[in-house]
Amino acid sequence: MKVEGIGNQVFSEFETGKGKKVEKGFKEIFEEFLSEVNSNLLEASEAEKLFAQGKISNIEEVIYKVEKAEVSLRLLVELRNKVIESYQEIMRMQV
Amino acid sequence: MIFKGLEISLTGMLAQRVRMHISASNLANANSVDENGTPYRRKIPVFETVMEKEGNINVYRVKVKKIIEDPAPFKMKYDPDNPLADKNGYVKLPNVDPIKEMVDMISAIRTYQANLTAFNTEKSVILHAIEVLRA
Repeated sequence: MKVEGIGNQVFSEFETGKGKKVEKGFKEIFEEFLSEVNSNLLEASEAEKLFAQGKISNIEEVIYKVEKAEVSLRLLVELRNKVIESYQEIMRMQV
Repeated sequence: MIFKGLEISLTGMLAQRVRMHISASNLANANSVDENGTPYRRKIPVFETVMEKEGNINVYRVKVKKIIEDPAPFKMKYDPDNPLADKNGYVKLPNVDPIKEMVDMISAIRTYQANLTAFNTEKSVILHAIEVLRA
């Protein structure tokens, strides 16, 4: 049996990005992510509203949207905690 | 995108729900004729895989391609008093086998549950990964 490492197929997208310069700053990336999470949340609440009004035909779509919003919001909160933590760490540094 | 797996499970659930609907419709019409007096033909959903590239990995979601009719012959029942009986006294009944439909429905429900479990597993994996950030 031939066993192939997964490295050359799964992680190649990371490797190709290695040599490139970082084009966007952290602020832009974070802002983009923030707006994406916000639109996910809005979409989820819209889906919930339609569901409550009985205007939706498939429950799975609602579940998916709500879960997506929840997961991305959790990720956002964790990232925010990390950012604030690093900020406080820097503020505590002795000069 | 991290939600690809969830999306795939979602399409699986949708497909199985279509299957359940079709089975229900077949069961409900096991004895019906349409407005022209032709018996109902059993409907069968046909699923199709649709490839979606996710990074370097191909993932496939499922799509209901079309709903075809079962070409099997109609059941014949001897019932001379029926207004739809032919000159020999036989009535054509839909080619629906309720037992087959029940089995198909059980299979659809189980596959739906499997997709739901896959959805939940995928979600809990993502949440566990996020949990790592919480120091």
